[in-house]
Amino acid sequence: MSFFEIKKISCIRGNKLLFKNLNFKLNNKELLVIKGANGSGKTTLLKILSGLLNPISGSIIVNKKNINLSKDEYFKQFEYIGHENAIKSALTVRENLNFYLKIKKSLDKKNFEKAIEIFNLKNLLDIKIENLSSGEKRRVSLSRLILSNSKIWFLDEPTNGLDKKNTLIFFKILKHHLNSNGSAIIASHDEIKIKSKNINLTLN
Amino acid sequence: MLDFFNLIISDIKISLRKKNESIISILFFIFSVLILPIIFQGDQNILKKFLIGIIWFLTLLTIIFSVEKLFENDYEDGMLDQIYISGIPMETIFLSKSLSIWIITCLPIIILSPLLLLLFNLEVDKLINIFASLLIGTPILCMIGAVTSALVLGFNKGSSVISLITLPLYIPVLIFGIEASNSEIILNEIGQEFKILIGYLLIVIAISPWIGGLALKLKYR
Repeated sequence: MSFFEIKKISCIRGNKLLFKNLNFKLNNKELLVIKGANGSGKTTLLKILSGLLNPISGSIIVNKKNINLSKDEYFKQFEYIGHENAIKSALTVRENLNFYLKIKKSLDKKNFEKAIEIFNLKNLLDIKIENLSSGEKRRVSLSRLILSNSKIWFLDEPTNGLDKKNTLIFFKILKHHLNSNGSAIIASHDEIKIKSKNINLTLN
Repeated sequence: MLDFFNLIISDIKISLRKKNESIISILFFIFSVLILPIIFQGDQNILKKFLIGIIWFLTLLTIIFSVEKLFENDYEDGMLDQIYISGIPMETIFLSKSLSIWIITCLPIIILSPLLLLLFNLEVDKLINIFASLLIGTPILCMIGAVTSALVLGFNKGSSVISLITLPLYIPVLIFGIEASNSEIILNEIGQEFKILIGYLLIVIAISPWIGGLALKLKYR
């Protein structure tokens, strides 16, 4: 049985029906890529899957449990990187990452150096976020994936603002995550070029 | 508990870095008090009669301006999502935000007010009363403001209506705050007005985290 299962999920935002009776399953080592035009509901679906929003009907079953029965437990199982970077512009890179290490129990302090190294943030550590470019900000945000030991990743447009080199670095860590028995759900306009068991879901 | 303090420390650090935004509300308060003699054309008697009321009203305005978008920045930059996912209860988030805005905005006002009022030759008894009443009254104003801010979060339309609905909740604080500031100091006995203010503070501390927390949770429905 799949460890992540979506059953008949429907969602209406405003007066617009975004999707109806959506079903899919996800296993370990699998990547689900959500595609669709602007406004098709990619971000909303990702927020529903991560428990940040509730669908009007349907259920999300993770490890045989409905996530609504124990959201706090569910929250510990994944890492979510939204469309926004969720970093504080007045704080430095180091302060932002330390803040996350303090508030998110699922992040591991031991991986700090590794995260800095992989995303080449060493020279930026003591620079305020407001002085960074959008690509650098995205790298800071994505470095949380290295800090995390979570099995599931929910990523909204993860390669937004990244140059070619850093996009490849991201693909590399994504592949490593999938090979390590993890799984990921990504909403993206860009093509996710990695060799893995991909499932594509296109929202109309 | 540790999460609560981590959130407060982070908010205060951000506020200290964004000096312009944090100082502007305090400067508004100081300048408004300092221009009072010009408004009252130097008439000391009328000025003294209305001074405490004006101080309270300016404090209320400063707090309303400061708490208006208390949760909005975190909501828009995705930080509120992350704090929510981290499993910190919304009530804790609400309380930490209320306390940090009180420290950032109200604490300077509480300390500065008696000093500024020294310029107006107010009696020492009254200065102590103002200090004490602001110390009790401003947390109430902050928490009511924070509840309003949580309720209007994410609303484009109707936010001003919600703000208007919560406006009457500030009035008892103003009335009893001004009364307490003007009251006589009786040694070893707390005045009636102070007791009412303390009672109101305890009620607000008990209720507002639940309402504020619930309002924030509604954004994730």
